[in-house]
Amino acid sequence: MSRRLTRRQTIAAVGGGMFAGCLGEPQFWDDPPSFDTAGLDTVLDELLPDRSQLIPAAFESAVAAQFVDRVERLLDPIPDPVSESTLPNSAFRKQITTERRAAREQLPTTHADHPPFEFAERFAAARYHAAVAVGTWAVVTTDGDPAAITDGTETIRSRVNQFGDTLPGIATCPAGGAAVYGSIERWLDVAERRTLTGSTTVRDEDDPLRAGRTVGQLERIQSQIEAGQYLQARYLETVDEPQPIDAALHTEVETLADDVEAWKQELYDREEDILFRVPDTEVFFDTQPVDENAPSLRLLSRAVRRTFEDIRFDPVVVEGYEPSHPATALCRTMLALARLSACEKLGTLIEAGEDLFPPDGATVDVARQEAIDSVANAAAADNPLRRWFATQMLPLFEKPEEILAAASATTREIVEAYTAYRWIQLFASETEAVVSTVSDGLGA
Amino acid sequence: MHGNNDLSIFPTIESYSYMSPKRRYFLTGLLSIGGLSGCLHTNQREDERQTDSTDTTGADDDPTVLQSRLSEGEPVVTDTTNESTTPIRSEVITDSAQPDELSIAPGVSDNDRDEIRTFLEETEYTTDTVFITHSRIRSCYRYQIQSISWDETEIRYRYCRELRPPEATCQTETWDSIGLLFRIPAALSSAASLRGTRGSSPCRDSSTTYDQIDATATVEGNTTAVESPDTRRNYSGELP
Repeated sequence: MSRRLTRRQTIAAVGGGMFAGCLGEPQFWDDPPSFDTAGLDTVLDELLPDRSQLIPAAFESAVAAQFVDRVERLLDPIPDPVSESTLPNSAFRKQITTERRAAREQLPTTHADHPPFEFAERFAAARYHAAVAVGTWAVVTTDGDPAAITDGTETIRSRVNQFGDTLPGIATCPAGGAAVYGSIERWLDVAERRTLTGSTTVRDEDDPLRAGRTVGQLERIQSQIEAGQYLQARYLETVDEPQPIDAALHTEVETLADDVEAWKQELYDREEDILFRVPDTEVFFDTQPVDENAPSLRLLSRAVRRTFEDIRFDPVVVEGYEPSHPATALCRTMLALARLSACEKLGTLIEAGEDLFPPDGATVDVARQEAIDSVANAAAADNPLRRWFATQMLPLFEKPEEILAAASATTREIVEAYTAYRWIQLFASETEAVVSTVSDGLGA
Repeated sequence: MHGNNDLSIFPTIESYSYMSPKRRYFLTGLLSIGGLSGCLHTNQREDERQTDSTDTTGADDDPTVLQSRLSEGEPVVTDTTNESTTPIRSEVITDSAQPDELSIAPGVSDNDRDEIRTFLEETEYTTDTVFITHSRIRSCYRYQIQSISWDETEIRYRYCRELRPPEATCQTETWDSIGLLFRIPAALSSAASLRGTRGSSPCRDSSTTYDQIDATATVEGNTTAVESPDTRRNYSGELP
């Protein structure tokens, strides 16, 4: 990523965009090109890359067993099965049985084949589902008390604050620390800004199903705190020449704020506080030689909307925002900048007439392979920030894989899967530039 | 949790509110029917009741309303005039002869059928009006009727929606029809019709008791998985 962004002729672009949506423009899906399904039958043969390692240490079996034990203890009071005669109202029965099943599905079957952060996320999800199940059961039982299942909101908020005060700690280098602590801080950040700001008090008069979910939300945060503290300790064991990283992260975050400001200048023709408004996709290209609703335009639209949703709701350093968690602010701002760069790249492709419609299944296969290679390279990179980006890219496979695994995917859905793979490859390419720039800034 | 529960003892008639002093005789009569004790919302003192009515305009924030649920999704009450059966969307009953033209769907339980008939027969049509309407709701939910208002031509009511108690047999994916029979303390014209409804979900400050299943839900042991994290180095970064 260049610190100096190419300033687009914004006004001209916006002006050009004004005409793009006029009535009478040809609509792509009115007369789409033909699609040959040849090659689709083997498209999912290549396995997805493993999740990257952020900490060179495993989740110890004895500790994992304690998390599993908590899940089992949560589920233990619930009768198995929950029969209709025991609980006639199927709304309660469904929530209890569905959540119990989800809890067990999240528990890893072996301790060897998952990176420690994946363990932590699985345990948090398992404890969430198990607590929802038993919380709902507690609501409907005479001797049950949903508020007694997990600790209360104030206790957990206090733990979040205390743990947050210890982050970011020491690290081998700022980049490595940002990757590890940024992931842990993210849990606390979401808890503080989303979960714990809503209604998280288990009250008698609440919707009883919601009361069960509230128990689950509190249990999830509790699990994240415990796992986060454990991972922090495990990481510290691997740090040979520890150095504090707080100052370096804050300095780089301020630099990234300048980069975001440069994008703001790029995207808007006014100086006002308008970054929270999703810009029109037309600001990313000067001319639009492709038909309206072409797959490339729809991909850009989705990407822009997602990018600005995250800029608005995530701890991205914009508009004088003072991050309380510098490591996660650095990571989330890098993510936003990489997405913006990828949007610009996609805009360039659109200017070149790229509609991102694959002629056949083999083209989809190639795009998927390139996406896999991109993420695998990031996951295997020495730079920990690239490995962190790999953890963010891996979930992007979920939707296209689901589409292509379906027996009766439509051409339109297959094209959507194809564009998702192309986006992963585009995005991965831009993350390299962002990581390179940030690593230089951190002195890595 | 505390409050009224209807379904374990009274499977389909779900709500029967009564407060008007002039209808005390009616309440007494209904109370003699054993199953109704859990359905009466009598927790509000009469002098607190927010009613405000003239001859044809008024409002009642604790209305007398009978609810009957039918799982087949058909209307509970139909109109049998003109030798045909017409589902009632909403209808105003203004005299004692009119109920004879109504029929109750075959799927309605005998208990509900009796209650509906009694409700219609015991209404004093010189001073009161019965308003019948239908709504649909998911099987595991129910309505709490919060208020009704009326004038010469229009009737409105407000409701909230909440989960039925755990002992109510229901299926999440199915819909039921609900017959609502309001007794409005005013002699309205038959020209009056339903103008609108307003609803919210879930009901706030519900008095429904949900802890009905005789069992425990005690989670043994600590509320945490790990007692304390491995702190071979403390988190401020200082080496031991």
